Amino acid sequence: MNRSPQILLVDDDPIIRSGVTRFLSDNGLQVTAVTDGPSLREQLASVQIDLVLLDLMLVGEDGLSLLRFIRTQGDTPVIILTAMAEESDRVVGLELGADDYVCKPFSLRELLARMRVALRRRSSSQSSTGGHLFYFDAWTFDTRARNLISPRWGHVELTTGEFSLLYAFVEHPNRVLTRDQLLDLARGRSSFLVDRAIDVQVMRLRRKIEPDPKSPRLIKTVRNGGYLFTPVVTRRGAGAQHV
Amino acid sequence: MFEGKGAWLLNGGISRRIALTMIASLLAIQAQAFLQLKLFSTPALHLIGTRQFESAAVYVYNELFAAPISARAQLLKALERRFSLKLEFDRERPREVSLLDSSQASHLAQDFRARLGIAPGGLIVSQLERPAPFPVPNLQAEISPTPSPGEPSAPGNTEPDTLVSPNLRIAAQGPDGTWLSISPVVFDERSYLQGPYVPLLVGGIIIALFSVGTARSIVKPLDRLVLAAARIGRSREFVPVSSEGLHEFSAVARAFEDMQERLLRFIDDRTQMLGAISHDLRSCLTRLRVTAESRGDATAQKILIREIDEMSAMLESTLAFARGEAHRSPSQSVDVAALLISLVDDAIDAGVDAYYSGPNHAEIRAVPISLKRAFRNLIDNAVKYGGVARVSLDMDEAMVRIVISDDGPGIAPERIDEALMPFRRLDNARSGTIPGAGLGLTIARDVILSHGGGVSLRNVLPTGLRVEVNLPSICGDRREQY
Repeated sequence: MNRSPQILLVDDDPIIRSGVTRFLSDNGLQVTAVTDGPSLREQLASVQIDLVLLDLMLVGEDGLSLLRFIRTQGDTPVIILTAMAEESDRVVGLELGADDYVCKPFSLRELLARMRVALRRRSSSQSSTGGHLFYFDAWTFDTRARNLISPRWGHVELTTGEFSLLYAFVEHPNRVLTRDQLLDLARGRSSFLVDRAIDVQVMRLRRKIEPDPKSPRLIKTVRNGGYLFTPVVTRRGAGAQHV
Repeated sequence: MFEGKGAWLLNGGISRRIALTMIASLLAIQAQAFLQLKLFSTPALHLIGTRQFESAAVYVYNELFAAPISARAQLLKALERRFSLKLEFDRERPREVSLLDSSQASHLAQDFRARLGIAPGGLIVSQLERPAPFPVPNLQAEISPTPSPGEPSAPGNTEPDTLVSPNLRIAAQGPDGTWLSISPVVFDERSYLQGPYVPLLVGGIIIALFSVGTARSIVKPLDRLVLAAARIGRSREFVPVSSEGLHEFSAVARAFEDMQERLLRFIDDRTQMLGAISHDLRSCLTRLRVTAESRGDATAQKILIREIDEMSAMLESTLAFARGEAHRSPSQSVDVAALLISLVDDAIDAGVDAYYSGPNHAEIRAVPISLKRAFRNLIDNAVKYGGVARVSLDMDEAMVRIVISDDGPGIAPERIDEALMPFRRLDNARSGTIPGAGLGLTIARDVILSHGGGVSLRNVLPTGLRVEVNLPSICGDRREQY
């Protein structure tokens, strides 16, 4: 990223527009704020946009239909701003190809962290195979719905730290990852994984996914090296079509 | 006994029900009497024709005196039964008791002497003056006896037969000098004893059965009403109150349903209002938060953000309560142990005392988001009020039991029910200045109830609250499916 990323914010609330713009500018991002659909189309047509922040509740044309429009134009990363109550909207948003969501009232720091992840993933996924569904050892890991499904136990809840760690693992299977590398990969994805040592997170994750956590089979410890995610990972999902 | 499709007849009202019951029992008793007569009748009256009596007496006389003395007693019994006669041996000549001048008696005496070849002194025919147990109808009535094979009959007599008077007694002296007295048994005492009591008893039982049945059928809808009324308000679902049966009860059932509808509408209005207010408030909070984070000094920012977070949490729980979200999303299989471990780990990362003990995996059917909210509320409560959250899980085939306990002051036993009510913050030692909307436990309970589970709160010694959650395990769920 040589130039500062160009962000397009779509929200009809002037206070939120000015607050978000100010905060993001302070953090080195170029922000253009618009209020509605027509101005969004205009911006997309004229400027190279690296990421769209899209409020789902807009006056006039709603956010979901704008999201559909953005997806017809290309694979610009989109983070949707949504209220907790509109869970169905959130799911539809992710299914329509939004990269992530934040719930109102959101923390600007968290928003920034998620934007960084989306931007980085987009730049790195130019070479990767894409997709948000990972399959390993009969498990299904849906990074978009933040869902881990086991054939034996059903929906297995992950903490934010475990999610980020597993994400790092499934994206780099069969590669020895040092603790620093893991911390770096995982931290980029979440602002929550902080003080806890990577070892603790690995131990927790093993408890969730290993049939026998005492003699791990999926996440192996490499002496003086770090950790190795051993299963074969298949990646699929809607994300692949944009690459 | 009054269920089924034909029940319309009985759905009228109490008066009609009682009238029908009486008619039905009357009919039943009549039917019983008819059956008794048809199937088990033992005629009480033995009407014997003179000719038949005469033949029987001759036969009995000959048989008895031909038999050895030792066998006579037994034979006597057999003959008594066979011919419906009363037979008696007597060593002495029986006294002639009020011998009446009866044409039947003298006629018989002549016949007997001729047929048995006994001297005039050896035969006494007497008609005892004994009141008949009932008037014998028309003693002169013609009967045609149908003697069974082997039974002696008087051949060649074509005279019209007459009935034997029940008071007749013949005493005849046998060849060995013993007297034998023969008299007809007209009235069977056994059937007299059986007769009136059995129908009375059976009739009584029939009436009792009908009465119990009626009483049950009247009370049953009342029981259903009580059960339904007990369920109203426990859940936020509409409880249908059965309106079958008596129309008096249907009216009550309808009133109950109307009342429920009004209550539910009232609650709906309130939750809708709550939802609308929360939504607007959240927009304000978002603006506040964005403004606070994007400018201002660090200390003010910190305080503001903490307050905003607190308000957001309250709003979120209010909204969750207003939505009753557990009723919407489809359930899937969920690893409840992993869920609890995640919540405990999150709490540990947030710097609080939290522990989990139990298996690493436990599968149940649930709505993951709702379940997570419920347990997060319970764990948050334990941490907020009790300083620590100790979570344990154990399971058997039917249930998964989760216990969350803390070291706090607990809840006064009489206020435990109150603690589960919405917006109820027990403002005493337990809450103090701890913020919250007072919805945590309510939402948890709602969610757990909607998953077919149960919650119970209990104080533990020396101090602390123990929340026990029971959820149906997936094994039990599968057993239900197949």
